[in-house]
Amino acid sequence: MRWLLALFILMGSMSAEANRFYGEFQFGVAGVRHSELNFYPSFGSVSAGLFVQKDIGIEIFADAGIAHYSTSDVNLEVKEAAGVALRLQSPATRNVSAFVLIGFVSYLVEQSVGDGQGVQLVQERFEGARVSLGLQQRLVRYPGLLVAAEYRHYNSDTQISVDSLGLSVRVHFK
Amino acid sequence: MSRLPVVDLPVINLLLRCSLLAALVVMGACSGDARPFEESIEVSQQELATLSVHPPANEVASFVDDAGEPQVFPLFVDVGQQLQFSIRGVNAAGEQFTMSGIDRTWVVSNPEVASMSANGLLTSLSEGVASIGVSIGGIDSTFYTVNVRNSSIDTIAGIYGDPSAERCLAEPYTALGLFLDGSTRVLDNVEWTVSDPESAFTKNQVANTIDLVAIETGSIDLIANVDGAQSLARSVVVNDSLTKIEITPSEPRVRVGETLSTTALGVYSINSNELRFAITSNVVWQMPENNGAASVSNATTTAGLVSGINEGSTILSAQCGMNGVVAQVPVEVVANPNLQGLAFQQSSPVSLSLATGTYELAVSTGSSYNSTYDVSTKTATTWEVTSGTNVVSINKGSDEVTISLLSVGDATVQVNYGNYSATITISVK
Repeated sequence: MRWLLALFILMGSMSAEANRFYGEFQFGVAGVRHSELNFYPSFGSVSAGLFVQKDIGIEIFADAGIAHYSTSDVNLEVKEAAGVALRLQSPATRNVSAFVLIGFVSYLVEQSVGDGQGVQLVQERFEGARVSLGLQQRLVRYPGLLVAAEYRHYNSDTQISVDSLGLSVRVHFK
Repeated sequence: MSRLPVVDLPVINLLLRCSLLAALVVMGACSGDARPFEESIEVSQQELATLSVHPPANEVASFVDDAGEPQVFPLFVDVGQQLQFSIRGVNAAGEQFTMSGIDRTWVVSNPEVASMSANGLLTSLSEGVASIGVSIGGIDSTFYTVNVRNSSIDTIAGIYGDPSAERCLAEPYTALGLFLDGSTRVLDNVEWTVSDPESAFTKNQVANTIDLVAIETGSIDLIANVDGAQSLARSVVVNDSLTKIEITPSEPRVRVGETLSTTALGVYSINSNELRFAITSNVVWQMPENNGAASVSNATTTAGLVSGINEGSTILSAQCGMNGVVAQVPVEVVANPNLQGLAFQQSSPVSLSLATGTYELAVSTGSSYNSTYDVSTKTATTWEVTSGTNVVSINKGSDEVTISLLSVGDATVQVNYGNYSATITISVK
């Protein structure tokens, strides 16, 4: 949560720069599979970025888990994540553009296994690559706002990789 | 008319360059261990309560004392020796089970003395003492102590195994050595012999364990020789508990040219209990000499395998000891339909163009061609052109039979194998 707070403050401080800064909030559902079990925890994500060239931006992002997912007495949550990414997006056609993000992510996964007689907690931080693909639509009535759908993948070259689908709202600051 | 978003080529080029750069930046930065997550679930699903680690059983010097209690010596190994450790778990119900040792968090108390791979392979590095353990899903095992010390054998301390044996039933034996450093270790590189090869034999020497198979009742000495210098004999009493041998199937029936596995079960009377054990590879399998119908194997891996030779019948016997227990069953060797008649691979007539030059023919036994029973190139197979010798000629090679097309016309090719023959017409145009 400290990441989220810091980013909101950062986004507020960047609003003075015309058209170059942006912030984004996303709600997503992640998919994690290991030990032949599937988990679908949800998370929120905020990003703050700067376009260094037309359609090329650099952003920092932070995720916080919203709800864990339980199956077979096993609870799993992507507790938090943070990282930096390079945003590459296509020129917009009819206010729609595609985007790709590639960058570095550090994410913390928490798993608890409980059978009623005791809970075993495992927390592990993973570091690796983030790759995202998505489509975004600029709103005609509010040109500073965009909505986007995104597929996101966190890969640490281990069994615990995270795939997610998310919906987001992006603000371009004026 | 709506248009799809179009991305121009310079942008694609730029995107690709940036993506490549970013990928290079994040590559090699991967970290994190997923194993604790998997092990946590493994522990939960198996209700794991306690863990223990174990070296290979045949490396641990142990014996049963006079009171019938198992005694285990501390484990000593030389520098450079490797041992594959395994893991046993006990669940909440007290049931013991083997767990995979692959990709575990093994613990070595003294890394200078021994190292441990993630898969449980210990390598001794220098003289000293190291304790080996493992941790799975937060549960720590008990530790097993390994002593690393180079030493040489002083004397053979003993040969351990059951003091008595049953006829034709394999019993395992191990030799322990007393080393110059005072340690007792399991001996490998032991040369085993028996005092009377007519009464017993040894087999299946794996690492440091040997199987003794006694044939005759009475007493037999099992002798361990190490380095040609050390020798110790162990007397084994051979009980007369084998009451019967049962051959399965009880009426073997095999086709000519095919094989059939038969097995021998020994019926033992031990402490008033009738027990059955497989003794297929410990008995002597026999058939009357020159019976002409079948033969049987006594090789270790194929013992009891009956081969059909010719149609007829004979007797199969399994015997334990010269004057011991014998079982006999009748064996019937029946005709093999796959071996009756001859059939060409090609349908007759075969129409060929003279320009073809050569053409391969194939023939098998049976009513239709089957490559399994191909006899084209067998020595006993003869080929001849019975008509039209100016049209084709036969070339029988070691791995194929071909005809050479010489001129336009019809020819008949005949093949003979045993009592069978077949013909095929070749029409050359």
